[in-house]
Amino acid sequence: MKVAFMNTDQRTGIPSKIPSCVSERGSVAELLINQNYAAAHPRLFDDQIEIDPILTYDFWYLCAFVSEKHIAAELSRPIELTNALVSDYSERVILWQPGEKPGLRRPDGVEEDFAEIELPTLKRR
Amino acid sequence: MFNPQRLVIARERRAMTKKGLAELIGVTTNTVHRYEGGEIEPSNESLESIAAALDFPIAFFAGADVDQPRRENASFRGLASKTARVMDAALQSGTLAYLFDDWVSTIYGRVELDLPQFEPEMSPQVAAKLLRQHWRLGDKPIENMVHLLEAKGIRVFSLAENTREIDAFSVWRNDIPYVFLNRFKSSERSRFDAAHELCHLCLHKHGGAAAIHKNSPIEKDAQEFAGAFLMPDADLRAVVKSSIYSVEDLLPYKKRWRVAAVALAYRLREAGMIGDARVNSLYVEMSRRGWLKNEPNGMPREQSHYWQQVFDDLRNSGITKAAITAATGIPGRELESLLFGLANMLSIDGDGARTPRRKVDLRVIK
Repeated sequence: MKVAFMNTDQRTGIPSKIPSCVSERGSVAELLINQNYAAAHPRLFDDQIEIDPILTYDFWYLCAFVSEKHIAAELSRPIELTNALVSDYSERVILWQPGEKPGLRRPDGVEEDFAEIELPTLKRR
Repeated sequence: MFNPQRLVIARERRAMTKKGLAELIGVTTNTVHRYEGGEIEPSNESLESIAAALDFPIAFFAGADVDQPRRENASFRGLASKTARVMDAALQSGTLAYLFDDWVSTIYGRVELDLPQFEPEMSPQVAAKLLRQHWRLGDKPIENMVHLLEAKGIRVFSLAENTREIDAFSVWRNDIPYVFLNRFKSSERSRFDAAHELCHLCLHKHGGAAAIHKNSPIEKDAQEFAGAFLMPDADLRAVVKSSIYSVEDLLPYKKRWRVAAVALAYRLREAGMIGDARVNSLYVEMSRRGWLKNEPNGMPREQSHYWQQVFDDLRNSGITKAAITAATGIPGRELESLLFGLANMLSIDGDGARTPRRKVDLRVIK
């Protein structure tokens, strides 16, 4: 298994979305991603994809997105390229810090509804 | 007539040792010891030095004996880490609160106490539920803990600046409960402290709430009670529907119950809604973000309903802070400490003298 670093967009770290890279991938990355795809979708009678023997490892990306507000990262196994940009993954390991859940929606609109307290009125003796 | 008890009160209120006072007023420690023991009386000159050193009016030392809260009757939070001197200073601010409360009670009627007493063996969760039932609060959050305590006849005062290490303490004086809250802490924590002391008052009155240590079972009971009282189980389950993964997820909920994020996390664990590992990771993240010291999205401090009414009425009657000091012997700044953050005392500031009216020359301009 080999891991390469890749700058990705704001969808990084969000389970419901698929992050993409911010720059186009080269030909070696394309080969590796195709191999990942083949491994993820084995078919009995398909032609084998010819791959350089030194590139026969499982290929993963450490995807990172850095903004002024937060850093999101995930370790993901790419399986698809669209217009030279990564467009799908077979596995994603989202890296969360303790207590952090980047990207997921927060509960909001919690009502303020209080118990009734009867306030006494001041009385002079 | 010099009252030695009052010298002890004033000195301890200032967290001063006998030796420290002796040095300030230029006598021996033994002399101070004998003043306090009633063996000798200070001369007028010495009394003036004492009053100046302790910043109490001379008249204070001539007053009658007063009730004092005693350590064995008071429940302090985190006693182990407090020095005896700080605790005595806090207790003596309680003495001044008694004095002030007695004076106020001569003018205004007080709310009758409505505080059931539970068996000390009762589970704190059950006690919290029963107290809510008794007070007909249902399961909704408490908007203002100070208002609630006052409405049930509990006297609420602030702890002074020189006792800010103390979170809170409560004490019974005959059949009247007093709660002293640290108003330098966040409002959320102060509310939790109020609920914590409420537990001691209704569950540990006869159960030896005195001399409790942070890790004592009584202290743990009070924490559990406070959590259950402020965040009732039924309301918690009805409102918290989505999972709590991040400290951010706690923010909207903490606003509802007006509690600290950390208190909410522990309460959710207690209610079985999140696990130990999650609470630990939340705690680590809250610590990293500094939320254990500075509450995120903090709420405004709770104010007193009762004391504000008192000060508004005193102002309308022309009674100033100086007049209260003259009547009670309590220094003005001690009054401010006792009511710090609870009521706006500006309305009774000053010595009662009216601002002289300036004669205005008016001319008719044609």
